[in-house]
Amino acid sequence: MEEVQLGVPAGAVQALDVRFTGSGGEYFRIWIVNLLLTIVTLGLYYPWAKARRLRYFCASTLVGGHALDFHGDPKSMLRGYLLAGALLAMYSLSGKISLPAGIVALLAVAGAYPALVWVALRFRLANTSWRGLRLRFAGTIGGAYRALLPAVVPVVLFISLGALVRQRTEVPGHLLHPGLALGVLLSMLSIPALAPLVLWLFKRYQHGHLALGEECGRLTAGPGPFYLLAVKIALVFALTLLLLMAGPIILAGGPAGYRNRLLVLLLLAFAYLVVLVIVGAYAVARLQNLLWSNTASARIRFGSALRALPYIRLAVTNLVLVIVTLGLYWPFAATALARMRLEAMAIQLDVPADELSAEPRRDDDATGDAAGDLFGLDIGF
Amino acid sequence: MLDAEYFDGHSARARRVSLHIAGHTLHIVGDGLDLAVPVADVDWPERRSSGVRMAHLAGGGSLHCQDGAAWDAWARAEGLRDPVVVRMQQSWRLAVAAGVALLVVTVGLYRWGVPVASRAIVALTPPEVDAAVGGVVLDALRDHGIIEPTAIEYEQQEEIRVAFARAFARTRPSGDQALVALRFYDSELGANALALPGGTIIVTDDMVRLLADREDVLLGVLAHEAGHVRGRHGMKSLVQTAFIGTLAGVAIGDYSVMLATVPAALGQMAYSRQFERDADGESIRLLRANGISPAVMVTLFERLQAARGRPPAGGLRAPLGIAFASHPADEERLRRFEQAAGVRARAR
Repeated sequence: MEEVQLGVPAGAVQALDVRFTGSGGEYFRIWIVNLLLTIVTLGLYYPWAKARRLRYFCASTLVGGHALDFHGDPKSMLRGYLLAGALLAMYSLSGKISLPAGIVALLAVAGAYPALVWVALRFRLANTSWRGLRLRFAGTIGGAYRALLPAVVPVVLFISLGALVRQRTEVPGHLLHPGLALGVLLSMLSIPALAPLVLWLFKRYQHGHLALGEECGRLTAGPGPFYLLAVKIALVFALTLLLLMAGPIILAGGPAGYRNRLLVLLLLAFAYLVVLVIVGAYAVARLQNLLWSNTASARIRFGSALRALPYIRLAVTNLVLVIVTLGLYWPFAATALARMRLEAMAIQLDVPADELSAEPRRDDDATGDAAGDLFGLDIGF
Repeated sequence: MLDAEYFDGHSARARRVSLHIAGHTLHIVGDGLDLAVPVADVDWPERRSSGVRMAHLAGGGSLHCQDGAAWDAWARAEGLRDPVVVRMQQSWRLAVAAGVALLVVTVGLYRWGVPVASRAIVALTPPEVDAAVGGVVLDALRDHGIIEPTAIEYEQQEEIRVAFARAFARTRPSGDQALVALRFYDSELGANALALPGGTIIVTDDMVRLLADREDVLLGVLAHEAGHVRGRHGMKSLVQTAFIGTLAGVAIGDYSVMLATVPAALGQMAYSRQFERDADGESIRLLRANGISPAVMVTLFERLQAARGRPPAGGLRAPLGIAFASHPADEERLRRFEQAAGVRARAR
């Protein structure tokens, strides 16, 4: 950082504040119309709905007074969704046919996954602009495979070894090979043990290739803080579990619980949902701070100071209101969450914004973006 | 004329320009620029209540206007029209109407769309698929130790099979009876009978013992399960689950996939209750065809209740119970069997 700042003339440093101007009421109207059209068209309208949603959220995000803009073409997004849907259908069907077919399909999906992630990152960034400049994802497809290999290998090993064990133990009297049992155990344990490393590798890849013109980001944090955060998240999970679930569980075990089994079950489910929301909000807030406080390029630095407690409070309030309103509150919740997350961000430019420039480029393939959505991979800032 | 900022897509520098439309051409003038762009080639922004307007030009340029109201007024004056979707989004009245329409469509899909679609899909599915699915379910039940080999003597099993085949034949003048196969298992499920897709009916040992002295009631139970097989309820329920899960996922999946399973499960249970009513209808048909009063089924519910222990007390079960149950309330089913018996008595 130091040597970079030395070359900057005094007074050129410019702090850009991030403001979110979206309103819950307006997003509610967009959301409900989108939902109606999506259902009436049996899902075909979904890419248009999504493009409209992204455009609304981008245009509501002001960085240094200038809005972000989304340029994705719904038609190419639709192609992407259809392709991803076919892939997913093939995967879930082949698992039902036979074990080898299932493993082959799993390997195929796992093999294609990094490529899909790469395409998704490229699509999303190449279709987002600020002050007319398209962002860019500068990572290579090989980089995606290197970054995601530690994530894919243990999962594939665990699923296929597990399936093999289940098949073997179906034969009565058949003794499980100790090597196989050890393999299952090790692959199972390696998933949580590797998770922070996997996340770090992926985030290093993602944030390390965010590009705007000649500026290319870099994640300055090592894997250490990710492991620390994982421990903290686990502690928060254990603590909230203890605090929130103990009461309902004691109640469920008692005579009152036996008489009102259904009420107690609902209470348990709700308490668990609250635990998940609290831990999820804590993780999101801390991860955002960890990631963006440690992301910088030569002349652009990011920062994030999202406070966990207010964010958790907001998430829990949202959960209650979404349930009470049978889902109608969701657009208000979504805008409130976005506002809190975005307005916690800060950006510093060591060069006048006017001097930034970008080579023009166009990347139209939305397949990766669609697959990222379907497979539950949330990509975006 | 409208003041706006022009970005060329190569540099972050904003250029102050003014816009006007002449004929089918948009003119962008100012700060050393004089561009003429066909109106049809511009990706116009959508109207919204506040915030920036951004238009995309072919070739990577864009126009930004911080004053949304001024842009909207200018666009209206220049004859640019909002698409229908935007007009709906910008009016509370139309948005609420969209909400109501959404509710109507969802209820319609749920009441008619999904059942009709699943009936059609199941009708197009060859029966071999039912048998395959039933085989998978049977294996799973066995693997998980839910069903174990039966302790019922083979002679008693055969007696029940023969009695059911004879009773069943009386409801089918044409004589198609190779529809179901009775299989007996000891099970932790207690006194129960399950119909699997493809025609296998599992009868638990406890059920045989519960009704050891009442073959008439057991026939009613088996007829109920045969009704599930005949209606291919297992397959329909698979298809319906997929449909309704997708529907709920589209609706609220972007908030929480976990919460989206709640309406899906509730909807599936409501369909399941309808299947139970249909199966009870088949049971009544078989009993009548064999000169047995449907009222004998009262015995089943009494004995099941005695075996289960006291009915669950507490005010909650009554209002909430039905939404969370896969079967209609016992009282409703009992009333139906008794009414069916009454109708029969009068007809005689």
